[in-house]
Amino acid sequence: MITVAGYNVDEGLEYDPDYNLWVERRGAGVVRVGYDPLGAETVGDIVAVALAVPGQALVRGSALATIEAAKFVGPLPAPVAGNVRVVNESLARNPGAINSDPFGSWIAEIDGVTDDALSHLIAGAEAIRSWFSAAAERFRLQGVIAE
Amino acid sequence: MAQATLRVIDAGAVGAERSQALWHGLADAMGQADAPVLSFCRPAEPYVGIGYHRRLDELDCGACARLGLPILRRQIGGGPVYLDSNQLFFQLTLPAASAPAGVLRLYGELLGPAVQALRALGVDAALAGVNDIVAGGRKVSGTGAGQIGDAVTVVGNVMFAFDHERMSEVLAFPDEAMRADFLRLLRENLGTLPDLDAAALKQSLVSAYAEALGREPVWDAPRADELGAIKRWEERLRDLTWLEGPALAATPGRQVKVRAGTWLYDGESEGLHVRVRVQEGLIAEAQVTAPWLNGAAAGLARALVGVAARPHSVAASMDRFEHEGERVLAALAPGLVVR
Repeated sequence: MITVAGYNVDEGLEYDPDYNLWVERRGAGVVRVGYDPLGAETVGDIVAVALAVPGQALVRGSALATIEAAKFVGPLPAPVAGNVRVVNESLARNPGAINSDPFGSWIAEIDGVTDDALSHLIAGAEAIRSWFSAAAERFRLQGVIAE
Repeated sequence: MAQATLRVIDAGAVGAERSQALWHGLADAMGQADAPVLSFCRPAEPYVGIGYHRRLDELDCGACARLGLPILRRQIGGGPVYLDSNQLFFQLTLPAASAPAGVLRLYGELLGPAVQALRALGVDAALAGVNDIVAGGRKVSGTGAGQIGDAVTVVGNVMFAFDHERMSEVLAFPDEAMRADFLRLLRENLGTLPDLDAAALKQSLVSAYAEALGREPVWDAPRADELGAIKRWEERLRDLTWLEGPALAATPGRQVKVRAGTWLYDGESEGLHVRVRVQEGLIAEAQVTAPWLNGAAAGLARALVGVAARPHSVAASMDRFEHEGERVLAALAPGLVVR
């Protein structure tokens, strides 16, 4: 873990900069996905998650799940194209784990992921530090997260 | 340069399905470059609405059928609500890319104008919690929000009158005592604004949202593509699979929220039963029962009263009771997550 802007960030993972999701490569064409700490904080206190069905085809941005926080329901966008391989069923019973332990709370695994589909992800400690720091600053300036 | 516009669509009094399909459809049809839309309607008939992630077993579906109340599932959050013609619905829909980031900021910025609109009419309104609008210490407007297609919509109702008893009838409770508690709390905490004129309220909302968004209001009607989307949503709302909702894990116990910070919870763990009334975030009343507890139950219940309804606070209050305290915490924990 590295500490960036007061957050612990796993530099061994890759990150979708638009959706604040982490992506872990888990073998040929398979990735595991979850919210990064900024995503988990800005989405609000999650009280419900309805996960996609295994086998469902995804394009980047399509809903991997719907989540609810403070009576707001929205899609959790897929960071990469592929097919839903498996979902973390335990989150349906304990959705708040995403807020309290974002790196421990994987949401789904996606297979059939091509290398091209991963090319937009941010990887490597220095790149992660630079992007995450700027993202946290942007959220702070917007008043989305506390100073 | 022409000022950007805020489209205003007033659908008037409409059927139950249209009162939901209207804003779902407007959101679904919205493009990223479209102007925001402020829409209004009043349901011409009573019905029950239920949030996207709620199970139908929170409702007494038999009672709804007996009372002739359709049940409609919305694609935004929150719990079951009784809706009728004594309420004005307002909805602000805008492209998702231009919506405020972060759910707290979203509500603050997009419900603030509704509060201002009420204040302009002499109502001492304020935003309470994350997204309740209150006046005189009582909730007068329920709200919710969601992303539908490429749009974000924030919805609210203003209650001119409210049938508290009917609301308590349509919900499922483990027993009639809890229903009676709920009805009493509902009467205490849910207020109405009977003196407001609906037309004046709409005009005040238009002015407040136009000013907040820096846009010129333009009264309009749905476009053809919006009407198509509204009709598709009417079909979806009638669909039994949609009504059933997404596959959700059963929630332990029974929690019924009245307003921000105020709810009832009834739960059980390993034969130990706990019922609490939470008001303003504090446990105001508690009952603990288990066949083996005898006189110890009263002590456990007393230790809960006055404690903040948060897991660590309840855990601290139960610490000295060791194993029985752990059982109370296990029974109560699901009721400390406010949905």
